[in-house]
Amino acid sequence: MSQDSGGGGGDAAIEALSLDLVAHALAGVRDPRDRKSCRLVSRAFARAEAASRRACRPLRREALPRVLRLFPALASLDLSACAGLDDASLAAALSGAAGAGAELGVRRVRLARASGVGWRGLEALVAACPRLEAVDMSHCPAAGDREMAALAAAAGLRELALDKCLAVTDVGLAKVAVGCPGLERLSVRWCREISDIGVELLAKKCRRLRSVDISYLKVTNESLRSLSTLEKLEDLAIVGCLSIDDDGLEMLRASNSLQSIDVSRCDHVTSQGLASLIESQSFLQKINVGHSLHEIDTCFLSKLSTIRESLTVLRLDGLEVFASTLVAIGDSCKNLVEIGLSKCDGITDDGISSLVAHCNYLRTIDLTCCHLITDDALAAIAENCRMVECLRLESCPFVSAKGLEHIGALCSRLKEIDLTDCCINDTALQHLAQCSELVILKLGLCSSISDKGLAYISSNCGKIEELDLYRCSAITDDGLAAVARGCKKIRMLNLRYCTQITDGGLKHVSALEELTNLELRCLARITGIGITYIAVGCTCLVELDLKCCYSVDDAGLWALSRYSQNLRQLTISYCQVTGLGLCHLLSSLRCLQELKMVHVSWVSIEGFEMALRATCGSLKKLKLFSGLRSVISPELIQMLEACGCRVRWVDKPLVYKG
Amino acid sequence: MEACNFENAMEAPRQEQDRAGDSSADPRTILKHLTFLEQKIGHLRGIICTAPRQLVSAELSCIAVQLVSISRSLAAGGGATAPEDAKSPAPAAHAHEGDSDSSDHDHGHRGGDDEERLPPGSYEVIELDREEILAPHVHTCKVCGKGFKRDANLRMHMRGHGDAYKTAAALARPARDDAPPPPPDARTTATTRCFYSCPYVGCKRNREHRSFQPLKTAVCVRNHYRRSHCDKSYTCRRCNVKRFSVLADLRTHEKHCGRDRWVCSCGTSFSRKDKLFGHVAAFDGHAPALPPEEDDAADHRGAANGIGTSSEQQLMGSEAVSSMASMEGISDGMFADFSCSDIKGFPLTDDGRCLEDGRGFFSPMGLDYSCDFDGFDLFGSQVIDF
Repeated sequence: MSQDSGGGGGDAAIEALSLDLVAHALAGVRDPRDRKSCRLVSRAFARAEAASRRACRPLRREALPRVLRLFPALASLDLSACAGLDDASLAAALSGAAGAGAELGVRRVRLARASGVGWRGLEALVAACPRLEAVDMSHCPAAGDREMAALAAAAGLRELALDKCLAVTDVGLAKVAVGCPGLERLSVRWCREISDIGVELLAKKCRRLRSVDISYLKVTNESLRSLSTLEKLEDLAIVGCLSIDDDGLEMLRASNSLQSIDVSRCDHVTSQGLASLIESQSFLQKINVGHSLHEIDTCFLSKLSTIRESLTVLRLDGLEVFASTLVAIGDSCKNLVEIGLSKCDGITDDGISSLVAHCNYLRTIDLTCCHLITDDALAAIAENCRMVECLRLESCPFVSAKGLEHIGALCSRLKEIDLTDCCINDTALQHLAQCSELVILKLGLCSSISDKGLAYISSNCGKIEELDLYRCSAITDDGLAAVARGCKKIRMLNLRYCTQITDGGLKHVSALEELTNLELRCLARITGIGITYIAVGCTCLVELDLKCCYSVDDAGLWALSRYSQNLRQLTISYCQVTGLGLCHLLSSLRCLQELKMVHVSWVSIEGFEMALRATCGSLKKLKLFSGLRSVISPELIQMLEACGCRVRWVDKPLVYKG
Repeated sequence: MEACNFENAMEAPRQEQDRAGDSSADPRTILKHLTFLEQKIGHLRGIICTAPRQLVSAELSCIAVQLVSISRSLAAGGGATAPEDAKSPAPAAHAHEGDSDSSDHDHGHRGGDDEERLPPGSYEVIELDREEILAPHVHTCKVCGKGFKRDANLRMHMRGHGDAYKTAAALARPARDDAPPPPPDARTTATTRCFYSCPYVGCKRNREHRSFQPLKTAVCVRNHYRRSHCDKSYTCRRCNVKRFSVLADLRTHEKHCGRDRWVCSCGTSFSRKDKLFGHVAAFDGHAPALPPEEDDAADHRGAANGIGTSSEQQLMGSEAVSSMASMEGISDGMFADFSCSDIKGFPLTDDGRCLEDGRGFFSPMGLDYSCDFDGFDLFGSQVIDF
């Protein structure tokens, strides 16, 4: 309709421009919402968008054929959120698009969590996209060797992520290694069936590998021996490989191109082994030794000075770190950008002060659970590291408004701060509000925060995207009104256990148009009316948690099923919903992938049966009360499982939190 | 309003159950339902003091509705016999009488060949003759000549030959060499151990041999003699290559014969994975072949079933919904307001954010399965063979 009204002079003027110019102008528009406005204003923009669009993330499988036909320049396709995608629909969409015009130019495909896609779909994908370079199959637990064989047909593949593809064995890895010799980045994290033999063949066949992630595999030092023969290896992650020890790291000395090494949670790696590795590698940029070394040795600290120029990231999570250690690190690593000290014992203000005195370029400082930290440390950080962007201070009980005053005054680039469980008050938020770049703000368990504090934040921090108010029980509807006025870009909002919130507050929240994740657990005062506000206002909603919202009834579900067509995760345990509402919900929401409904006492057995029969086939995870297991007909469960849905039966007692 | 909802919610499934041959009359189903309700009541007991009255009453009414539904389905389908069936306990599973004679495998004695050496003279050496070794039964009755595989069975048999064999001493297990080995320190002090010699002269297990290695038990003697000095009369029926003289060895081989073969794409097969991977590493273009075809076929069948059931489920789902819809007075006109021709109607996103609200485009009731996207029907797509 806007086309008709705007079809006068403006449109004609744009029509006069060439497609390239319009596309160039459009490239400057970043926000997808603004792009949509542009498309609606003029056909020229719509054509330019269609011709120049590179990336797309369809949310429904029905849209896929159209997407592939309309955007011929598409290079990156993200199918991870495509509800109900299966082999047949993927193959049909690809064959339709490839048959219509020339072959598809898609280079990157993301299929993470697309558990409905098997080897047939992958075969069709590889056949239709000859220029395929990167595939992400992570978190498809059913993917196995046959899927790998299908992928191996993509000879030009350079990047492959297979995290948690539990059924992939050495044979599947060998298929990929032989089929895709140009592989540069590979992640087989959590593929527990892969052993030393597979890794050895990989290292022999894919000589161009630059980044390898073999975390949590049952591999030994032999794997490191074979990987050390790779000439271009830069990035190696061996998290949680319990059979790897210092001898393995010793073997890695053979390759000297390493830039990043992650040995966290390797119990048998010690300071000596790491020191000898550092000695041989002169370009190391990132070292992660969290939860692995039993103690930090002086030999390790002295070796750090040999890579003083290159080292930028150092993570020492969960270790015992003394002030002297931090002094040594500060002395030797002046270029540090990120330091991780979460859950380290022995971190004090003096240590932090001496560290930041030398490391002035720090941007990310993780001090989670460093209980002894006080305002002095924050003052030192603010004074020395003006560039700091991310500050994690969860469970630092001595941090107060005074420390945050320094941060607010001096660290204007701060983007993320985690103050969960920090006993801060409204004054602290007043100081923090000076950081206008703030994107992520976590204030969980700060029960003394009130609406006043939120008003300070919303007055100046308009870029906030993630706000966590877990158990901030003093927050009322007025606070939410202020947030909704000031922080329009909020995408994730956690209001769990903010028990004073009522439907009025949700009405304010519904003004947040970009909201995708909303958690409302245990808000006993909200009803279906509040949920209706949310459903109508926040159309992008993807995840909603309504557990223990005792007063939410069918009306809420009706609104969700009518308006929240993009909802993917929903929790409705303890809600006052009936079988009818549930049935309507499940038959309408076509993107719903995860549903948790453990205690929905109002729903009869027949209600469950019917609602589950009405699901649209997109359901991937379902959490039900274990008592129902014997009652619900087995063929219904089989049917759900055949559609790729995993049912978790939980035996939790019915409790009422008043 | 809630009660009315319950009524509505129960109508359709009841019809469904009637169609499906009335499974609810099955006493086991009823028992299951009752157990479920018991559980619910148990939970209710836990919260009855703390929870608001409204919650408790709703819970109770739900239970009541469920009970009524059970009784109705009983009355409708079961007839008079159902309640009695429900009362009768489920037949107890027959306890399987363990047949102690059933197994003739001697796994416990397998390792006896690799015996640690004791100084000669510290033990007694027994040599059985060939016939005795090859006899089908190890234990024979001295009176009637009947053979047994186990000494205990022989002792039981002997009772029939007179009272002399019924004494406790005769029935007791004789103190024997192949009794569980005594603790190491007691070995030297206690009675001398018995070891066995192979009757084949020249064998290392024969006592005449210069570096004689005795056999530990009579079973070891049997297996050794058959393996080393007898014909291999058992042939594997699967591969027709491997031959064995001990039946148990054949059985062990048959378990692995032809399976777990590691095959390369060039057709060469290996018995071990590392050998295959060595081969693949050595030759360009070779890759491990995927395991057997029967898995493939099963996979195919499974997938076909999967698609079939999913569409079936969707059909049933939409059927259920349409029945719901008619109940609630939703007209079909609600679904008429969508079209596929508008480009801009598509819910695409750049980075997870929705561009369109999708409202009115996709029908809220999920009844647009039959609509035709881009010339192919999503339902019809399952017949595409690829």
